[in-house]
Amino acid sequence: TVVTTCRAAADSDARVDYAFCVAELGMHRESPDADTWGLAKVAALTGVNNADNAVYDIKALLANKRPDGPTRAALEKCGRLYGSVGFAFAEADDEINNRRYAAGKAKVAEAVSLARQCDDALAVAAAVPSPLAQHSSYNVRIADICIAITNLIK
Amino acid sequence: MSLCTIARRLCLSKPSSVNRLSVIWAHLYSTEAAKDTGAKKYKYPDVYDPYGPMSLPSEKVVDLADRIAALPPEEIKQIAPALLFRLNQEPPQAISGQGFSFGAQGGAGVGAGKAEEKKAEKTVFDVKLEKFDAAAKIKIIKEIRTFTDLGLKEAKELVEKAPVILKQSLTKDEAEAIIGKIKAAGGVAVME
Repeated sequence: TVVTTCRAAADSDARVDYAFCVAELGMHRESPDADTWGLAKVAALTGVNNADNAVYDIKALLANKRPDGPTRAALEKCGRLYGSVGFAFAEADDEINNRRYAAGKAKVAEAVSLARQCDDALAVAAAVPSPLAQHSSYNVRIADICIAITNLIK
Repeated sequence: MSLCTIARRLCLSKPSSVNRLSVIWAHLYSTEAAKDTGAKKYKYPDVYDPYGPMSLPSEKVVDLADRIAALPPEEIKQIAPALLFRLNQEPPQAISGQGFSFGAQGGAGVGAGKAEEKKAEKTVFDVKLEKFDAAAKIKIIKEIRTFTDLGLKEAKELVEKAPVILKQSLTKDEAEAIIGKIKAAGGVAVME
């Protein structure tokens, strides 16, 4: 179950936010019937969704807020980066689905790295507070959950 | 009305047309029979009634018979195949050794007509994703994976290319079912 799996994940990895895990994975239609393997894929899919939402928000910011030059450039870069984040999580899902867990976790780690590059770009542009702070935080937390649950698969 | 029935009625025309009908039959059967099987030509009797007495044909049919009889021989040969096609009759089977056959021309003509009918009727369709709500993207990706062999990454790439063909060569029912699923997921798909 979502609750027991999230509990096990949090117990195995201190980076896992138990409440966040239950709340986010529990929203998915497949979750109630999913085993550990299924929940690892749900976590990856959740990462895809967050990345796509980030891309959408970036486009909205660029269109509506009309940011200054440096911030605009940083946001454009972030749009490309989060696009890649989404695909990295998608590939993670595919790898996990094909029982290639090490490769799946590597893709999740790649997603984290890509999102961090966006944070760095925004920091350089002095975009404070970061307009993508929530997406960035979510990305890290869901990645931790995905990796921890993947490690639990027997 | 079957071809055999038409033939019987033509045989029962007025006396003034009997001889002409004999000429028709001689061309339709004797000539074709001789050509197809090498059998000797057989001259039919002046009055030929193989199916027994029947009601007399209408004036319209008699007039038609007269017009047919007036055609040149090469056109008279085309009557039977044309009738087969127009009356939606299957080509007759050749009678081995007896020679009552309409030959390849009739079969080819009928087949060509049916091929044209089939060609005019569209029987396979493609489903095209036109657009989707951004919030529904994941749902649509998941739905696409239910009727394709795509992984998540491939399905995501496909959706992001919209408008894009999702699946080809479907029956109408299959296409409509997929369109319904895409619609339920928050996208717009059409049949092409």
